[in-house]
Amino acid sequence: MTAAIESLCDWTDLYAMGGLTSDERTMFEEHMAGCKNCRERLMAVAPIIHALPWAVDSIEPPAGMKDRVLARVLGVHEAAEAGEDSQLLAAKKLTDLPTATKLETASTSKGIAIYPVAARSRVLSWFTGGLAAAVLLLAITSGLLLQRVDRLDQEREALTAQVAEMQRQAGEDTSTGSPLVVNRVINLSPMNDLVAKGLATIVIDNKGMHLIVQAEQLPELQNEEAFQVWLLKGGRPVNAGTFLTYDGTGALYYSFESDDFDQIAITKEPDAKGQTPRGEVVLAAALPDV
Amino acid sequence: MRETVSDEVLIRRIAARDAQALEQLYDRYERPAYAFVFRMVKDVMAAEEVVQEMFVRIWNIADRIDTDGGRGKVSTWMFAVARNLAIDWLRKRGSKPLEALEYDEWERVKGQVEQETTEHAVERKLLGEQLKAALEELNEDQKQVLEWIYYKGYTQQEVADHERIPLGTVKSRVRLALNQLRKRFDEFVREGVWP
Ligand SMILES: [Zn+2]
Repeated sequence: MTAAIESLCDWTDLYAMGGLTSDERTMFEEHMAGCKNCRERLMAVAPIIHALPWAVDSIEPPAGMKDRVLARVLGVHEAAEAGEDSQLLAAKKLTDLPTATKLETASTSKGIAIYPVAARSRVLSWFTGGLAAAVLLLAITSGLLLQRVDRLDQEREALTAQVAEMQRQAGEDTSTGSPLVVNRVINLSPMNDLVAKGLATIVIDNKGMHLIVQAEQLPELQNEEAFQVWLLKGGRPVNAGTFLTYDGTGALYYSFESDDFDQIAITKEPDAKGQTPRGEVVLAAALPDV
Repeated sequence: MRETVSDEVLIRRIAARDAQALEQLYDRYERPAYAFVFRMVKDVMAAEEVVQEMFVRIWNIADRIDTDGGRGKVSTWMFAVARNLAIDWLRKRGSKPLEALEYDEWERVKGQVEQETTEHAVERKLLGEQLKAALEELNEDQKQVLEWIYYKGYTQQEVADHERIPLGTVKSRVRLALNQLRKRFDEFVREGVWP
């Protein structure tokens, strides 16, 4: 036995523990294929290594984690399946989703952990149950994740920076397709003494511009009523689609050609069929030039 | 008696895009996966991110996982992926996407897991408790080297550099630690602690 071979046999335990570099691992696997001793040693120690993950202190997972994780995983799934389809999704996705009832529950419960916008290099999940449903929509374009609307005032700059960071990462990730650029993040203001809150995010990729609207604490809908989103240019409205709500929370996704709209508004409509606004405005904001 | 669907069946259903199967697998492993990852990253937010990413990987790659040929492989694989993701997080390797190399990991796990007699999480947890006690019995040097390599993802060379000890010493500490754990492990099996 040569010295080199001897030292490779010494790697078995490190290999089992995942303590080799990828090059070393490849070398060892080639060696092991022809070394019975190493294979036997590996089979002797592997059960211990495999049991190590169970040899830890129990700890309570954060509140709402299940909804967040499943929404994210299934949202990624929707993104892969949705392809070019960028029509209204909110109401449909909510009813399609097997966990819809749980999302609804999450959106009503208080005390869900709200992650602070800390200075982190990688921000993957910091939305909360209140907007859990909306993450499905966001995942469709980028896996972009949002935080409670009502925290946004103070932390809008941080959000913009983090969204930019996420889009940069998304741009590097070949699995998400073309790079996304976050164009604008706008707070929507409630009208007529309503308490409603809303957020509009506009992202750009090589297919055009995409509007993501999220709103919560919206007034209750009756019968055929629906919320409708309008993009306005010089006072002339363009229909950006309708959405329904769960417990006052709803969201909408709309793709459009690049255009210089100057306003966005959400109205409460008698039904989802209108081409011009008929109902009262519940949320609105000016779209500032970039 | 309540019949439990095996992990392997769940993976097959997940491969067929069954969201309920995903939820079942999630419910089964949320706590152990979270506890394990938290043990590594020691950060609540990061632990959730890592567990989330683990499920994203499972969802994405389930159709490539050949589940025939014995139980116990799926959970071992899941934890291996979780560990890789946690190490990536710990190392913060730039901003490139996490590389868990989940399929490579599956290939590796397949060859290392024999038919397991413990099929249920509760049994594994019991074994884990015993192993935790055995880990406590290791001497400080052995604990340290396991900490660096297994929980922090350092390579043998990095441990040698960090601890200022020869590579041979790293290897022998690992070997002694595993020998001792193996001995205790065999005792559990003999004593019937582990069914
Ligand atoms: Zn060998």
